[in-house]
Amino acid sequence: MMKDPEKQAAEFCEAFQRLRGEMEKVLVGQAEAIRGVLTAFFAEGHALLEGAPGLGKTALVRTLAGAAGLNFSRIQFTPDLMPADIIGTNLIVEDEHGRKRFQFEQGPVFANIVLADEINRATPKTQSALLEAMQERHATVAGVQHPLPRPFLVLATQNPIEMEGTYPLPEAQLDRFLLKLQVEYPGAEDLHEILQRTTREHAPTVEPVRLENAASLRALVRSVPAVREVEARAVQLVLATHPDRAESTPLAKKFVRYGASPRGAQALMLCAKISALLDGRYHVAKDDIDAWAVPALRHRIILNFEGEAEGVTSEAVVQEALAM
Amino acid sequence: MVDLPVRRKLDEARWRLIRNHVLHHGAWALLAGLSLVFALRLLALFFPIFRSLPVSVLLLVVIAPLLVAAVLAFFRWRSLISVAREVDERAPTKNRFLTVLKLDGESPAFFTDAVKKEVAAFVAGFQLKHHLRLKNPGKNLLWLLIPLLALGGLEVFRHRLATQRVPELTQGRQIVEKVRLAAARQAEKNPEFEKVAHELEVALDRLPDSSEPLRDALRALAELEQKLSAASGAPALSATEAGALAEALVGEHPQLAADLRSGNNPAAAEAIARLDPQALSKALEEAARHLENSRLRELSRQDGAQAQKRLGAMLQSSGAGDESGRRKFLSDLSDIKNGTPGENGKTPGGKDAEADQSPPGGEKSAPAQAGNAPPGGAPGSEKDLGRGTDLAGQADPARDPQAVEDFVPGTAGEGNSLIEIFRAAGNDDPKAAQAYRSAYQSALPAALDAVNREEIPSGSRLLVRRYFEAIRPKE
Repeated sequence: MMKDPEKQAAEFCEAFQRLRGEMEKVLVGQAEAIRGVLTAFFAEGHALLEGAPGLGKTALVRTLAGAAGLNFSRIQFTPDLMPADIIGTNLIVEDEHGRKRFQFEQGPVFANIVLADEINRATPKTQSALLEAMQERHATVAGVQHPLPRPFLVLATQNPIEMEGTYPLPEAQLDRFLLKLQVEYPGAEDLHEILQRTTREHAPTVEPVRLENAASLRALVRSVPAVREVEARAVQLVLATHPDRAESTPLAKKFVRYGASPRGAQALMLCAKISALLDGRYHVAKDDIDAWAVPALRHRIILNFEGEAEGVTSEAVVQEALAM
Repeated sequence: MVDLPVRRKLDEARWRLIRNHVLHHGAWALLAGLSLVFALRLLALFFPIFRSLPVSVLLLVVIAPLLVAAVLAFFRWRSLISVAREVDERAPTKNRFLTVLKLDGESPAFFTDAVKKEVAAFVAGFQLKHHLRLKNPGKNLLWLLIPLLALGGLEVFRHRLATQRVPELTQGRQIVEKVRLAAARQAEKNPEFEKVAHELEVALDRLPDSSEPLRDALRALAELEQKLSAASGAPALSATEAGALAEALVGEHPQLAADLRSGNNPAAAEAIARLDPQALSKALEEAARHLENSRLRELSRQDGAQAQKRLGAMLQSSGAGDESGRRKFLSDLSDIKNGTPGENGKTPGGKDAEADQSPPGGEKSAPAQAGNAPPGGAPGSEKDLGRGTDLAGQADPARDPQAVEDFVPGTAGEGNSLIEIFRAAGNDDPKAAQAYRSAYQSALPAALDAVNREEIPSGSRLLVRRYFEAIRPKE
């Protein structure tokens, strides 16, 4: 039962900072990505990490799992990966009395943190196997629902460079990711630091942070109030990406086929609430919402043919909406 | 319920916003007001109706927009919500003020106290003056200078015009003042003239604002004259008509003829009432034929008793007390306008009438000199008689070169007269030409009307027509 919001908010900030500190022991120069992944962790949402190979996407997810002390599983997506390889399957097993029966063998999705590495390499059929797990947080095999452990977090990575033999994620699945984070190439100083940490005898290790009250901290996030006029900012941003709305931006009217879904507005509010708590406030401000507009909306905007041909990006559409 | 420190901060913000609003919009309102004043002053140069605008109206034009700006400012920032919204928009408050105001109604109570506490702590160190500072007007201030400079320039122009008008103004004032004094004298006997004297005072007050004071003074007098003439009762028998009638009656009724000639109208009226209607009708017909007068002819055709009654009334009207006072005043007014001595013995210009017989404007060929000149003025030149070339310089085709010129004597009539003074009549000065055209257009209908009413002998009618044709202004 939540009693003292100020104390709980302080605990939340402490937990967040400790996790970030542990992750930064291993990861160098990915502050925004770390902040995004931790925000998704506390909002219990999924995150899609996009970046060139070798930038530490997989390391980021692995480090989070290690720092949070949670179950972690990695699925390397390949074209021949089948849904059962992810969810699990029923096997015929024989008991001590010699009777045979079906027993559900859990797939790698049954973990607190699932790393879906290079998710765009699997076929749409296999990608879709994650849909139910990501949204409903359970998996259904042979008519039986199997609940997933909580917290459940899918952190997927994809490589934007190698497009040969890849299958773009379907819109329905993209929409289920709370955030789409760009993993940027490190600068010179960061590269030096990476070399220092990874080419010596003793590589840095992560100490797990004990989060006994993680569930209550997640509940606390959802309790942060936002007045209607502040919520209106999230609504305005989402509607601005819809080409057929009066509120839409000129870029959206011209180059967007489908705008962000209501999940986009939900993602904005949840992330904004976490930002407010980290800022020492107990209410959401419009600035908090604006800060998450690009990572929360860019993967929910589908450009039309003209937009693709003109090289317009969904980020540009969101930036224009922010400037309105 | 909002905490007191937050409430105080919002109240402070409200007053700052109202101040900024009033100053910002007030400056634009002032600009609009000054521009309007400038427009009104400019219009006053061309339209007399705008000349009489009192200073209070002009002040109101300036002050009213300022008041409206202040009222709008108070209305705009009347609620704390709007103040909080504005402060959150302009300062890095992270929507704290709006949240703390709206939290009670919209959000669960779990975080309410924490939010209030956090906002109170924020407000303690928040400096409003840095964020709600009055914007520097900068170059916008120059906009205010435009109407001010324009007003200044206009006033300088008006002052110069006024300086140029001083002689005309003095002359116009003297004329109106004389008429006003005459009206004041009449007012001692007849209270009706108190109103006339007051109207003349008003006309005197308006003269300084006039662009053509002398002309406006004469116009005011002409209007007054017309009004008084219209207010007269039954049409009186003119001296000419009385003379002609006396001529017709002198054989059989010498006493009545003597009364008519001497102006003993009451006695004449009594005698006419006793007169044989047929004899009266005959006398009227003879007088009408002699004068070619339609009024007398009409009377002669009426029933004898009715003609007697009407002629009596006309004679009584000529001798009535009020009427005689009005006629006396109109006569004085006419003398003053025409520059003849009258009672005052002075011309409008203030000089002795005998010493200076020229009209107020000083032209050589203008009105009445010896009392026997026609209403249009004495024949001082060919043009005055409608002879020679017309204004366009073309010869009069109707004139016979062998014809003998004749002088047609006339007497000053009892009707309205018009005097206009032009600085350069006949030249190409557009202003003078315009004024001349205007005077001509107003005099021509009166002349044609007189011709049509057969008050002018038939032999002279053509002459009048030709005279007006000759002095027709150039198109």
